[in-house]
Amino acid sequence: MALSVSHLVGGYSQIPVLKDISFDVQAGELVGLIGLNGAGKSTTINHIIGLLTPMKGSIALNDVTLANDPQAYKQQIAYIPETPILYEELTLKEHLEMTMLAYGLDQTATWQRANELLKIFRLDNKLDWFPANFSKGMKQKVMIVCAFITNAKLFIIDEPFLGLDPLAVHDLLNLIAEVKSHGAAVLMSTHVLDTAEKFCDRFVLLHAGEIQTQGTFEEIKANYPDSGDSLNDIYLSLTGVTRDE
Amino acid sequence: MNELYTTRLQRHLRQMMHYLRLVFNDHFVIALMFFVGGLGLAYSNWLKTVSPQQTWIVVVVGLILWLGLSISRVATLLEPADAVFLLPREHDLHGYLVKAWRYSWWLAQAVQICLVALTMPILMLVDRLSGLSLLALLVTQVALKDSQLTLYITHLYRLTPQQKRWSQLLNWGLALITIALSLAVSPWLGLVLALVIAAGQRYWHAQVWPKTVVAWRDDIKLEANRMLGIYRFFNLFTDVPMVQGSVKRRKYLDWTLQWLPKDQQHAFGYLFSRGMIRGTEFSGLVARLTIIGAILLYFSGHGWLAMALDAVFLYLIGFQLLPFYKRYDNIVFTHIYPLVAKQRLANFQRLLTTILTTTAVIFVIAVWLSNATLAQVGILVVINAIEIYLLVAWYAKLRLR
Repeated sequence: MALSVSHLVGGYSQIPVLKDISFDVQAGELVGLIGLNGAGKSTTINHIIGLLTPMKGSIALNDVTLANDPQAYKQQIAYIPETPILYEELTLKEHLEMTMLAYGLDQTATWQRANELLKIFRLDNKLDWFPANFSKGMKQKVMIVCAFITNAKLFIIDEPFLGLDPLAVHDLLNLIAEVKSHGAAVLMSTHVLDTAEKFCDRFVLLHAGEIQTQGTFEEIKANYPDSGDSLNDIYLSLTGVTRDE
Repeated sequence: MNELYTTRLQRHLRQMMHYLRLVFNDHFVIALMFFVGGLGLAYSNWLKTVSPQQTWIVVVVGLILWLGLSISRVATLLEPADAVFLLPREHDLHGYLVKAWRYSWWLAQAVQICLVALTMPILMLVDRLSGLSLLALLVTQVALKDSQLTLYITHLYRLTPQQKRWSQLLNWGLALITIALSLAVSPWLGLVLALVIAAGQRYWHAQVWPKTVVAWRDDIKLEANRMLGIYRFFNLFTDVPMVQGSVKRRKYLDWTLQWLPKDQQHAFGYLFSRGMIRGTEFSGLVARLTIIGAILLYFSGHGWLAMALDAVFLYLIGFQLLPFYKRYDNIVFTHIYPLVAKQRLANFQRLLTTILTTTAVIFVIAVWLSNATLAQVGILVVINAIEIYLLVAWYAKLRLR
C-alpha cells in the first residue's frame, strides 16, 4: 500500500475542515479526489504533502510517516500545485537542476529524462528563460516536468486539466500511465469529471469535509443505481444539487 | 469630504508609526547613534580645516540648499478608487487638497529648517553671515519650499504639458537665482524675492484651480509613486509587503556561482546564491551599503572612528540580510523538498559569510588605499574576522532558529 490516510481530522485552524477521512492509494493506481469548491480537497492534499499537521489520525507513505522520518517521507512525494509556483530568480534550467539537487537525483541520467519531457511539452528551447514570466499553461508544464523527473513513489496532482492545452492534457495522461506502470501511485484532484471518469482507477468523493463514497466507477454506480450513468450525474445527485434540464 | 483627509491621515500616520517602530529598533538606534556621532565629529573636524578664502564652498552650499528643496512632497493620500467614488465631488476636492498641503507643509519645512541649520556653521565661517541675515536665509528657504508645495497642488489639476513644464522650470530657476542672490549679494534681497515667488505661486494657483479639472489618474499614480518611495525606504530595514523587488538575469555574475558544490547538501545554497545575485532587493542593499561604507572609511582617518564605522556597516549589512533566509517561505516547494532545516541554515550561513567577507575585503582595501599603516590594516582585518564570525555563527543562528 503506497499512501494510506486513516481517520484524518484536520484543517487550518482550531475548527477541523476534514472530519475523519480514511482512504488509500495503491501502487500503480490513479485515484481521483473529487469534490466541490471548499469540500476539502486542497486541505487533504496539504496534509499529505506535510504543510499541515493532522489533529487526529495518521498519514503513512509506504509505512513511513512525516513525524518518524520527514526526509524519507518527502523524498517519496512529487507535487504539482493547482496554481504554478515558481522561484522568480531561477531559469527553467535551474528549476530542473534545483529539483535534481533537492531530491538528490543523478544529474546525467535525470537530464536525459528531463530533455525528453521538455521536448514533449515544447519547452526545450526555453531553458535559459525565467519561467516566472511564462503564461499560466507553460508554467504548469514546468511544474509537470519538474515533478516527473523525480523518482517519487507518490505523485500528487492538484487540478491539472484547467489551463493546459488539449495536447498537453493528452501528454500528461500518458505520463501518468507511464509512472503507474512503474509502480508509482497517483492522487489527482479535479473538477473535470468526464476526463476523471475515463482515466482514474478509483474515486474518493469528498463533500463538506467527509468522504461521501469511494471505490471504482462501477462500484459507485452500483451503490447509487438511481443517480444516472456518468460520474457527473452521480456526483451532482450525491451532493444534493438538483439540475434543471 | 472634510473629514476624509483627517481620517486618511490618521490611518496613514498609524501605518507610518508602525513601520518607524520596526525601523528604529534597539540595534538600529545604537548603530545610528554611532553613525550620527561619527558624522558629526567628521563634520566638525572638517570645519576646522575650512578657511574663509574657500569661496567655492559657498557655491556647494547653495547647490545643496537648492537641491534640498526637492525633499518631501505633498501627501495627497489619494487612492485608486477615488477616481470613481470622488469624481462626482470634484469641486470639493480642493478643500481636501488644502488640508493635505497644510499637513505636508509642516513636515517639509522641518526638513528645510534642519538643512539650513546644518549649513549655518559653514556660512558663518566662509560667507561671514551673522544673526539676522541667517534668519533671512532661513525664511527664504521656507518661502521657496512653500512656493514649491503650492506648485505641486496646482499640478494636480489638468494643465497642458507646456504649462506644466514651464511652471516647473520657472519655479526651479527662480529658486536657484534667489539662493544665489542670497548668498552672493544679500540675504535680504533673496528674502524679498522668495516672498514674491511664494505669493505669485499662490496667485496663479487661485487663478487656475476653479477653472480646471482634476487630473485624477495622474494624481493617483503620483501618490502611489510617492508611497512606493517611502515603502522602499522602510524596506531597507524591514519587510514591507507593498514592495516587491524585481529580478534581473545578470549573466555577467554567473561566474560567482561556480564555487558552490552541486549536491543535495547545498540545494538551498543553489537557490539562495542565485536569488541573492538576481533579486534587486537584497543585492541592491548590499551594494549600496558597501559603497557608502567604503567611501566613508576612506575619508574617516585611521583611528577609532574608522573602526567603529567599519564594524557598524558590516553589522548593518549582516543584520539586514537575515530576512532573506525567509525569502522562499511562501513557496510550497521550499517545504516539501526532502531537505532538512539544518542544511538550509548552514547554506544560508555560508552565503552570509561569503557576502560579508567580500564586503570586509572591500572595506579593508578602502582603508589601505587611504594610506593606513600595515598595523592599522591588520587590526581592521582582525576586527572584521571576529565580527563576521559572531554575526554568522552566533547571531544569525540565534535569530533564525
